[in-house]
Parts: sequence; C-alpha cells; structure tokens
Amino acid sequence: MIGNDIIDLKAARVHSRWQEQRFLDALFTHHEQSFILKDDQRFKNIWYLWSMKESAYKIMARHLKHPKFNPKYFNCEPVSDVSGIVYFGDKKVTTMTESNQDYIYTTASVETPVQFSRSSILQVSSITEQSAQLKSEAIELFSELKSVSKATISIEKDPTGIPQFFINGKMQDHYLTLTHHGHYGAFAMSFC
Amino acid sequence: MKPMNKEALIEKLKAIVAPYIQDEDAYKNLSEDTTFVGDLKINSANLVDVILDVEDEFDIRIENDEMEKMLSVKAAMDIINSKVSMS
Repeated sequence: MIGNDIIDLKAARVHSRWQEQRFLDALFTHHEQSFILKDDQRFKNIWYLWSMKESAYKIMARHLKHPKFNPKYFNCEPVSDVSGIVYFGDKKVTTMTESNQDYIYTTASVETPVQFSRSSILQVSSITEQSAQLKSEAIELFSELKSVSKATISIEKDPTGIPQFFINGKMQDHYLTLTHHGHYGAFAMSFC
Repeated sequence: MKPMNKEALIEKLKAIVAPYIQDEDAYKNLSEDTTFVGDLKINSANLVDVILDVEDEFDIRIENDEMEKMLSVKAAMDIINSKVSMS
C-alpha cells in the first residue's frame, strides 16, 4: 500500500499561517516541534513533516468511510532529509521524500523496499486539467508496465473516492495514489 | 448570543475558505453539504488555516476532537453555533 503528498512551496508560503505557534500546536507533537525548530529551516521542516503525515494518512484513509482530521495521530521520525518513518496506531510506514526550491514530494509505503513510479507535473493551474493530465500519464505508465494497450485501461474512483486502475472494465489490484497542490501534481503506483 | 443566521454564516465561511480552495466550480456552488477536502479540494494542510481563521473570525477556540470533525461546511457551522451560543 502506498500514499503520497506534494506541497507547492510557493503556495504554502503565501496561503498559510505556518509562522504561528497555534499552527504548530494544531498539527505537530512536541517531539515534532523540536525537529521543526532545531535550525533556521522552520518553513521547510514544517512542510517536510506535513508531507510525511499526509502521505501516511492516505494509506490509512483508504479504508475509512468517515475520514477524520487528526494530524497528531501520525508521529513523524525523519531519519534523514530523504527518508523517514511515520507511526500511527500500531502501524508504521516508511517514507521517501524528494524536495527542491519549488516543491516537497513524499511517498509512504507499508512495504520495504518501497516500489513505485511517479511523475510530477509543473505549471498546471487548473486542478481539473491537472487531474486529467495526471491520469493520462498514469495510464501511459501502467500500460507500459503491464504491456497492455492504453485503450483498454481506465481509472475510476471506487465508492469511497479511491482511484483504481481497470483493464477492460476489470478492477486491478495495483495501488494508485494522486496528489495535487498549487501548480504541482504527482501520482504514485505500487506493483507489490 | 443567538446562533447566527444560516445564510450569513455560510457567507462568512465562504470568505474564510476563499484563499485555500482549488475547485472554483465547487466554490461557486458552496452549500451546507460542501466538504472542504473532497469538494473544494482544499489541501489538508490548509484545513488548519481554515480552523485558525474561523477561531479568529468568531472569537472562539476549537478543540482537537472538534477539529477532527470539521470537514464540511455543515460541521463547521455546527461547531461555530455551539460555541457562539455558549458565550
């Protein structure tokens, strides 16, 4: 199982109250706050941990009929700038993160080693367009990996809103997860 | 203080969520049944911004267990009304 989350850093900087202590208190445990405040990279640290939490949440949310917003249920342990562990309930997932000046992108996986492919899309302002583009790229990659024609593949949401691959109308087991924020979007799929 | 008029409350919430929405059509048609993440495509990190903005606008404090449920316009209205009518 996999989950992913992308943060458009430009959007995050403008449209957020991340500088406030109340923001930190609502989202992060004391332990996480010490990580965030350990150096002068508060902004980057916040969004790094947030993308870890959110990608882990997406794994859990696959089975929930009534999602809850409870960020402190997910405890982040960054191991380095690019990998970490998120604990929640009696479970843990490993995360891999890629970041630059424009975005932070994290993928969480129950399995190790993490098996996924992904793609990032730049400068697509409308979310509808972004979503269509992500799906078409995901279909393209899936078609290559499964060696089946693109025309036979579709992506449909199940009743709980989770996207799934279908080949000739038959639902596939592979996990697909999509994320959008601001001008960035990404998908990840798992072949475990 | 009496609970606020429903339409006035929806208008206030509409103004609060405006900077964070990513789906214009859902925003235009915002109603009680609209959900923040599912319909308006608000990034979950911005849910906290919405919550802080609501706290400031109505001069209330929202607890963690309430925050957990604040995922739709209706849920937000219920929480605001319960707090405003207590004060």
